[in-house]
Amino acid sequence: MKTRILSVAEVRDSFARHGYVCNDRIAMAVYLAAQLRKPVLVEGPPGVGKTELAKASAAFLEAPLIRLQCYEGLDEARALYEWKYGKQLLYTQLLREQLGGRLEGAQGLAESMARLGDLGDAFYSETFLEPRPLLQALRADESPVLLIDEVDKADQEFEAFLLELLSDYQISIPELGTVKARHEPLVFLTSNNSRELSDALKRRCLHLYIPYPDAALEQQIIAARVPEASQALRKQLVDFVQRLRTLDLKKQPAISESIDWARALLLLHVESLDPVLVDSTLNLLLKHEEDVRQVRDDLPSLLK
Amino acid sequence: MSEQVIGRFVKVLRGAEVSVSPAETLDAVQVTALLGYQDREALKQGLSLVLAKSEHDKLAFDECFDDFFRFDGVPPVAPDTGSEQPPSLMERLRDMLPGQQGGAGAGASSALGQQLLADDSAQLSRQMAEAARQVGLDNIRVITQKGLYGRRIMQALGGEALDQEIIALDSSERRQDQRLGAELRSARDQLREAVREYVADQFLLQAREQGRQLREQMLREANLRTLAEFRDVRKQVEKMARRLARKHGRRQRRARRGQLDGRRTTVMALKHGGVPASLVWRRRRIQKPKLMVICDVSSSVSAAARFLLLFLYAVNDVVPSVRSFAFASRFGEVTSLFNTMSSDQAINEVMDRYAGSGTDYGAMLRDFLGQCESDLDQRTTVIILGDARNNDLPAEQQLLGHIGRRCRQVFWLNPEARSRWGSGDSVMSLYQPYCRDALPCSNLAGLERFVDRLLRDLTRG
Repeated sequence: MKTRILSVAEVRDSFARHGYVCNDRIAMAVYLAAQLRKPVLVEGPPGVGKTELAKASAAFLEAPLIRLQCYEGLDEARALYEWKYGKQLLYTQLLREQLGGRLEGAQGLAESMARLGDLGDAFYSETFLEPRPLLQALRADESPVLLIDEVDKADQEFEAFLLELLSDYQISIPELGTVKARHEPLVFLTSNNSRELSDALKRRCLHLYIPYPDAALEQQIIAARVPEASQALRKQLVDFVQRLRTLDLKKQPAISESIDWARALLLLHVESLDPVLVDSTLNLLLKHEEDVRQVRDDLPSLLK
Repeated sequence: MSEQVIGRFVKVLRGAEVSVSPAETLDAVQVTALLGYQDREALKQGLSLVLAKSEHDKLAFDECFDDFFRFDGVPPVAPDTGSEQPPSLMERLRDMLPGQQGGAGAGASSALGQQLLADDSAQLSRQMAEAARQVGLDNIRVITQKGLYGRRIMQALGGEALDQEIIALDSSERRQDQRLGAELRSARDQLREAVREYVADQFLLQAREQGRQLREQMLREANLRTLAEFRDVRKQVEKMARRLARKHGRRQRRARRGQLDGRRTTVMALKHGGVPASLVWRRRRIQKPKLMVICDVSSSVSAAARFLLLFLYAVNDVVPSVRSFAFASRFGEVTSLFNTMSSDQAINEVMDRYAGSGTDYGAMLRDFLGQCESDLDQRTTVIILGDARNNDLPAEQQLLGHIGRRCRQVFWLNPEARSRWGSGDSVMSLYQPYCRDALPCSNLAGLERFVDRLLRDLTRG
């Protein structure tokens, strides 16, 4: 992993080389996160490149990316570690004779228990531990980028459970004690704001809000991701998408959708936008029937 | 230096309702140490990352940053500050200082005089900020203190020595000295003006926080009837509701995890030769509560109804199913209005359609039963809001008793103080026995207490 980041500009330029075009604000977040060793909480509407930011950072830092996708009901067993119950059972079966041997000659229940107690820890050791993403991140051989995606989808309990990891880069496992990070990971958390995150979590993170990009930035992004598109088309396309975002839609088109659209237009060998073409490709941009209908009605004025 | 500046900036942020913890303040100090003051835009972005932690906070932060760092002797590096922005303190000082005129500065003997003539505006503005700290300008509370703090700052800057020098120069015989005296005098007056402006700016910043706290307290305790006229009441109600929703939303989740289900765990264990490899939890099924709210919207109590509805629709996350009814001279369901409009618009619409006088609670109960009797079940909570002033019509309290038996519970909210219940044409005392509880709610604090209790009750499952 790269250990030294010299400046915000370095982050921005390197991101651009990896195809992630961003403004100074985003680059500043990555710079500060690396300098202060703090996690970054990234919020913003869907499809503005929150997850992409973590990937770009991993590429820039030449670090492995470990990803934990959150969902309702996610618990420690899925996120941190689990005991390999099957293996444990198998071992007890196979070792039955051994165990029997150990117990041989024991006087009474108390002594048998004591003998079993001596080897109790054997079944809760590294051999039977199944590390999940968080533990993987803590025990990685080099400092990784840890992406905790859509943390707002997880339950409140899980959020509380993350606090120890986020502030001290360590986690307490009852059977093993405290596991401290070998190399502190760079953590990104993303949230779509489906519910408000707790203040405790926010307090431990840098908070980055990524809005929809302005026209100039979006043109740059499309130029980086779909370089084959001509500049005239790019400008037309971005202007149209920007205008769509000012409408009252159920779901506004995000950057990822503009990119998809640009690619589609390219496949269709389009040189400039016209109403018929836009009409037929509109469902690449808009994902709700109502939105499509609303835009279709205003198409002539929107394309002006 | 950096700690103090950030400390004061955080105070300003808190005044603008951005909550900043001490830990975050420390982060901000680190960020400032890392980035320095040279690049204003970078500092703004950096501080915004550690201090403002929601979209709303970011907006407030941007405003505060632009306000605050105008004063503090930070050179305004960003060239594109826009023409409508007021000039920074430094620029103001630079404009008013006479500038170096052929070594005239050498003539002044007092420290402040030398600086004034030497045109060192950066140094001066730093000193002014420092002097403000010394005299505790942060503590300025009322507008009449402005003059006092202005004088103290002048004193801390060394104004007294300057005054004496000017007097001495005036009385001198030499023409050169007299000219110098006049120059110093005008520079001093301009400096005084700059100090005055600085104090006024700081006062505005400080007063914002004070004012907000006072106002919030007042809003919570003011009578609902007078409250409707204030402009940011709605924001306040939403804020209170958000807090409640967050609190109870969490509890709802906690209740979801049940106890260990011994029977099913044993059954599952049979697969593994009797080893309980996987545990089965008894899931407690949360019954989705249903809420029915009946509001008296006659003129005497409509304000309370407005706020109760605002409140209940704002905690929608926790109680998704609310049906609302309004009555004054007639009775009707208004749920659909709330589904199609914002709650504010819907409430106005309700008031327009149903407002009137001559409430008949007996008829209301009958109408309600007629419309909804089949919908009442053990998950339903009925809330009635009204003053129970029945215009001497029959109270028909047995109908309320019937409703109470059909549903889980009935709450009655009365905007009048408890002491007035049952006086005059109020039949509150007849209804009270049939309610699980009857509460007075004359202000937002009372409403908040009730909704808090209601949500706790509903989410306990």
